[in-house]
Amino acid sequence: MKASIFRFVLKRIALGLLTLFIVSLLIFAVTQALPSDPAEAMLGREATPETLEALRADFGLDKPIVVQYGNWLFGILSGDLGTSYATSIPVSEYIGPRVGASFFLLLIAAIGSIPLSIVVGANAALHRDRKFDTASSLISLILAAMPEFVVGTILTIVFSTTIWQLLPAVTYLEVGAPPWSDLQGLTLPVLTLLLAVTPYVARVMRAAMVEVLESDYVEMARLKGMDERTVLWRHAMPNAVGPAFQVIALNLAYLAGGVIIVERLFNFPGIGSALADAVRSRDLPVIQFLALIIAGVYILTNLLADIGTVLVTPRLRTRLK
Amino acid sequence: MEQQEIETSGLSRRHFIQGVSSAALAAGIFSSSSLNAWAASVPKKGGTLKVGVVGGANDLYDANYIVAKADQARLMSTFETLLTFDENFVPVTANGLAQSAKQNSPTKVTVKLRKGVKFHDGTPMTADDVIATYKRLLDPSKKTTGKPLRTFLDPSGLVKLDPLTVEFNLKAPNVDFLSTLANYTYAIAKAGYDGKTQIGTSAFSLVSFTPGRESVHKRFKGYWDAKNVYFDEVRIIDFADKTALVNALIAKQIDVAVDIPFEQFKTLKSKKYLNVIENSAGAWLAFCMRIDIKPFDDNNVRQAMRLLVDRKQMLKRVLSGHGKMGNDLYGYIDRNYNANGFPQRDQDIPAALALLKKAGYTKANPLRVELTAPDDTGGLILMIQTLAEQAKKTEGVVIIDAKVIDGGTYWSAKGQYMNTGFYTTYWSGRTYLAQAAASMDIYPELKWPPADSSFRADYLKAAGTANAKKRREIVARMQKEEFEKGGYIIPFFNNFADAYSSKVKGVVVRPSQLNMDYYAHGFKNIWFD
Amino acid sequence: MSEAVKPPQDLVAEKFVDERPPSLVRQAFWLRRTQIGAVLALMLISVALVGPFLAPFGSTEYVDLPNTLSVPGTIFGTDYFGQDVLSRFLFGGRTILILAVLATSIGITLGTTLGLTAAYLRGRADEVIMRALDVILSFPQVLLSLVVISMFGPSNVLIIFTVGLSTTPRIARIIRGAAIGVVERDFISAAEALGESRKRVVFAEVLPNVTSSLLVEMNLRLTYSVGLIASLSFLGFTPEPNAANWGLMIQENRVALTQQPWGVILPTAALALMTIGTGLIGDGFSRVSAGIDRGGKGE
Repeated sequence: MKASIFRFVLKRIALGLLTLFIVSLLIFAVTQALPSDPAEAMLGREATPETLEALRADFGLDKPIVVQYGNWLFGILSGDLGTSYATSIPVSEYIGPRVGASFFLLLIAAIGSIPLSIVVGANAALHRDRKFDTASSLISLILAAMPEFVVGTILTIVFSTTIWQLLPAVTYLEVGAPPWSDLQGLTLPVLTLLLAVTPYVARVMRAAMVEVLESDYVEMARLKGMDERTVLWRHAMPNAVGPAFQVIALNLAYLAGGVIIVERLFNFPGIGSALADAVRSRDLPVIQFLALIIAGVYILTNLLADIGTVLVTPRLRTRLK
Repeated sequence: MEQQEIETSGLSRRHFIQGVSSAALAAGIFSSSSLNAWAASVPKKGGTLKVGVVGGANDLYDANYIVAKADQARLMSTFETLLTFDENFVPVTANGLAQSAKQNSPTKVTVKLRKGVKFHDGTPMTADDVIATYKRLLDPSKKTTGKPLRTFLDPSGLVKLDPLTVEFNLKAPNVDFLSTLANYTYAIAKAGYDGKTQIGTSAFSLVSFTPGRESVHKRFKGYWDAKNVYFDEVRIIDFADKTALVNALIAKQIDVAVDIPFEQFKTLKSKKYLNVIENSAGAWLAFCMRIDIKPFDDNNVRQAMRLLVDRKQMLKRVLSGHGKMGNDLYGYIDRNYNANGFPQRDQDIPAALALLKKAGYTKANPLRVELTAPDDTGGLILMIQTLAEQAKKTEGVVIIDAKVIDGGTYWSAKGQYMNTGFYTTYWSGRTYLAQAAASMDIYPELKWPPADSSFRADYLKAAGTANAKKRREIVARMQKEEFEKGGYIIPFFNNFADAYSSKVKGVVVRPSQLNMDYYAHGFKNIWFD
Repeated sequence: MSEAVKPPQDLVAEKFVDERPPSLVRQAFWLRRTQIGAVLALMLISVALVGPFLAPFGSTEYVDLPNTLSVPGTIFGTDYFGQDVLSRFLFGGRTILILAVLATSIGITLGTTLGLTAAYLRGRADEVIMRALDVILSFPQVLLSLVVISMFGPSNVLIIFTVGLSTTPRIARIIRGAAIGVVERDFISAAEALGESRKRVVFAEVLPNVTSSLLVEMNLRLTYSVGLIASLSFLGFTPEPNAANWGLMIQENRVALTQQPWGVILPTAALALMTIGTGLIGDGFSRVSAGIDRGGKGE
C-alpha cells in the first residue's frame, strides 16, 4: 500500500510541476498581449521617448520575448525571482512578507472553517429536516448569495464603525512585524473568510453524510447492535469526510485567489492587494510569481485532499492494497 | 509663523516678492484666517501621527515626481521647495528654503537661500544643491515633472553667484517664474540625488519606506525651523480602498485620512471626534476635443458640445455639489480668471442643435462619437457617463458612446489620451499662463492653437509683459479666443476634502493646492492636543 | 466558488441502482422545498423581466443630489450617482440575470461536454482532458479575469466568456464524477451493442442520468457568476460602469452605505432570495435523485 501511495504522489507532483510551467508560459504570453508595456504603464503621461527607452532597457524589455522568458525561467530555477518593475525592489523581498501574511490569514480561516463546517454539516444530516438543518441550510444559502465584500462591509459596520466600535476596521501590521502581531485586526477578515467558505463545505458534508447514513454498511452496523455513537464516528464519519476533503481543497484554493477581495476590504498587507496593483502596472515579475504561488497552493491542496481522501475512506484504502 | 519669518528676515519679504513678481497679484491679500485657526490651542511636543492615504505598489518616492496622493504626502514630508504659495496662490518664502526671491526682469530671477538649512545627513544646503535639482528637472532622461520648465529654462541658465545665491537666466520670458519656484514637485534635493536615497531638508527624515504599505519618518533634529515641529514620528500608511481608509479613521486607527470621498462627507462630519475640511484650489476635470480631428475640427461642433452640457447637474452628479461651476476657461486661481467677464455658459439644446445643423448633423445624419475615460480617475468615469446621458436631450442628433479604458492603456503613448478626438483629462490648479503653456506644448491635448491664430504670439507677449494691466488685456484676448473656439469643456473646478481626528490641532484651513494645507508643509506646524 | 453539493460519485457508494429515474422533475416538485424555491425564483425572475416597465425613472436618469434618502417622487431616494434607487433596482435584474445565465450556459455546455467525454472515453483521453482543465483551474481565477479585461478592454461579452470559461473545469469535474458511475452500467453497454453512435450514447444515454448533478451545479454556478461579476467591479474592473445590475449596484453604493443603505439592501436581498430559491430547487432535485425523499418521505 505504501509503495502505491508513493507512486501516486510522485506522479501527481510531476504533473503539478508541469502545470506550473504551463501556467507561467500562459501568463507570460497573455501579458505580452496587453496593450501597453510596463514602461508605458509606469510613466503614464509624464513619459518622454528617453525615459521610456531607459526604463525598457532597465527591465530588459528591449530583448526578444523568448530571451525575456528564458531569463525569467532561468532566474526562478536558480532561486532569483527578479525585481519588481513598479517598486524596484526584489520580488522576494516585496512579496515574501505578503505571502507569509496571506498564508497566515488563510491558515486561521481554514483551521476555523474545516471543523466548523464538518460539525455543522454532520449535525444537519443527523437531524435532517429538523430545525437545525433548516436553519443552517437557510443561513448558508443567504451567505452564499452575498459577495464577500458585502459580508465584510456589514461586519465592519456592525463591529467597528457604525453600530459598535469594538474591533479594528482594518488590519495594521507594522513593516517587519509578524502577521500575528495584530490579532484583533485579523478578527474581521478571518470572520469574513469563514462566512464565505463554511456554508459550502457544510452543505457538501451534509449531503455526503446523508448518503452514508442511508447506506447498507451503516444499516448493517446498526443491525449488528452497535450503539449509535460508534456507528456515527467509526463508520459514517470517515466515509463522509472523504468527499468533503475534495471540496475543502477546492475552497482553500479559492481562498488563495479570492482573498484579494478581503485583503482590499481590510487593507490587509497580503498577496491579494499586490496582485491587483501588479496587473495595473504590468509588473510582470510580480504577476508571474503570485500566479505560481496561487497555482501552487491549488495543486498542493488538491494533492493533499486526494491523499487525505484515500487514507480516510476505508473503501478506497482497500482498493489501493 | 509667517509673521515671525517676516520679522527674522528683517524686510517684509511678502511685499518684496509680491512687488516684483507680479504687480497684478499685489492687492490687499493679508488674510489672517490662517493665523486665527490655531490660536486657541497651546502646541505640545510628542506623539506619532498616523496619516492614511490611498496608495499601492505603484507608490513613488521622489523629490521631483509624483503620480498619486501617497507620493505627494511623502514628497512633502521629506523635501521642501524654495518658495511656497499663500492662500491667494502668491509665492512667498514662508516654509520655503529661500530667504528672498526677486524677479529682476522677465528673464532673470535671483534667489537668496536661507542660512543654516541642513540636509537630513547633516550637510548644509547650498546653491549647488539648488542648481543640481533644477538640472535634474531639466534633464529629459530623468523621470521628473520638469517638462514644463524646459520651454523657458536651459541648464546653462543656472548660475551660482555665491554659496547661498542662485541666478536663473531664462531663455524665454516668464514674468511668473516665482510661481514656478513654488511648484511643490520642484523640491530641493541634495546634489547627486538619484531618486533612490531620500535625503531632504524637511522636519522629518525618512526611516523606512515599503511601497504599498507605509513609510516611517522621524523628527529631524537639525531642522532649520525646529521650533514649529511637534511630532516625534510620522507614519504615512497606504490604503488600497477609500472606504477602508475612512473606516480606519472612524475606528480611530489613524489620525488623518487624506482625500476622503464625498459620499462619506456627511457621515464623517457627523462624528464629534472628527474634523472635516474642504478645499478648492482650481483643480479641474475636463473633456478634450482635438481641434484637428473630425468632427471636432469644425468649431460649430465644438461649440455645440459645450452648449450640450448641463454644468449645474454635472457638478451635483459627479461631485455631489462639492466644487465650482466652470466656464470652459482654466486658471481659476489666477487674478485674470475670466478676464472678459463672460457670463456662465449653460445648457442650451436649441442653440446646440442649430450649430450642429450648420455642421451637417441632424437626426437623419447623427453625430456619433466615442468618449473615453481612464478607470483610475473616478470623477472622469462619472463625467463621461453624465455627458452621454445629457446628450440624450438632443433626441438622437448627438450620440455619445462613453467608454472606460484601463488606466495603464489610456495614458500610454498609443493610448486614448492625446491620440483620439474626444477624451478626458485632469489638471491641478495653475495660473493662466502656466496652464496655457502646459496645454499648448507640454501636453498638447487639443492641438491648440489653430494655424491662423495669434494665440501663441499673444502668449509669448503676455509672458514677457511685466505690466499687470497690459498683461490682463492680452490674457483677455487669449481667453476670448479659447471661449469662442477652444477645445476644452471645463464643467467645474473640483474641491477636495480631508478628515482628521479632532485631537490634531493647528491645522490651517485656507485655499491650498494640496490636501491638509500642503500636508501641513511636511507635518510641521500641527500637534496633538 | 463552491463545489459539488453532491460528492464525486466515484468516491462514495454508487447509488444508481435502478434504471433512469422516471421524471425527476415531477418528483422533485412534489417536495415543498422545491415548490417554495420555484415560487421565489419565479418572483425574482418576474421582477427582473417586468421591472423595467414599472420603473418610475430611467435606469441612468438623473433625479437629485447623490445619496439622498428623502427625495420627493422616490421611495428609496437616490444612489451614488443621483439616480433613483428603486428604478435602478427594477432595471438591474435583467442585465445580471442575462449575464449570469449566459456565462453559466457557456460553462455548463463546455463543462458537460468535456466531463461526459472524459468519463465515457476514459483512459488517455480522460487524463488529457482533465489535466488540461486542471491547468485552467489552477490558473488563479481573479487574476485570469483581471488580465483578460486589461487586455481587451472591458465589455460584457468578455465578462461572459471569462466567467463562463472559469467555471468550465469545475463543472467538468463534477459531471465526470457523476458520469463515471453511469457509463459502467448495463444499459450503456446495451446501447453500444445496438451500434448507436458514440455521440448519441454520450448525449442521449449518459447525459439524462447526470441531470441532477447538472441542475445542482447550474444553480450554484449562477450565484457564483453573479458574485464574480460583482467582485470584479469591486476591484475596479467594471465591464460597463453604471450599468444597472444588481451585482454592480452593491459595489457602487457600498461607499455611502451608512448614509443611503437602500442601494445596497435591495439588490443584496434580491440576490439572496434568488440564491435561496434556486438553492431550494437544487436541493429538491438532489434529494430526489439520491433517493432520499422518494415517495415524499421526510417532508
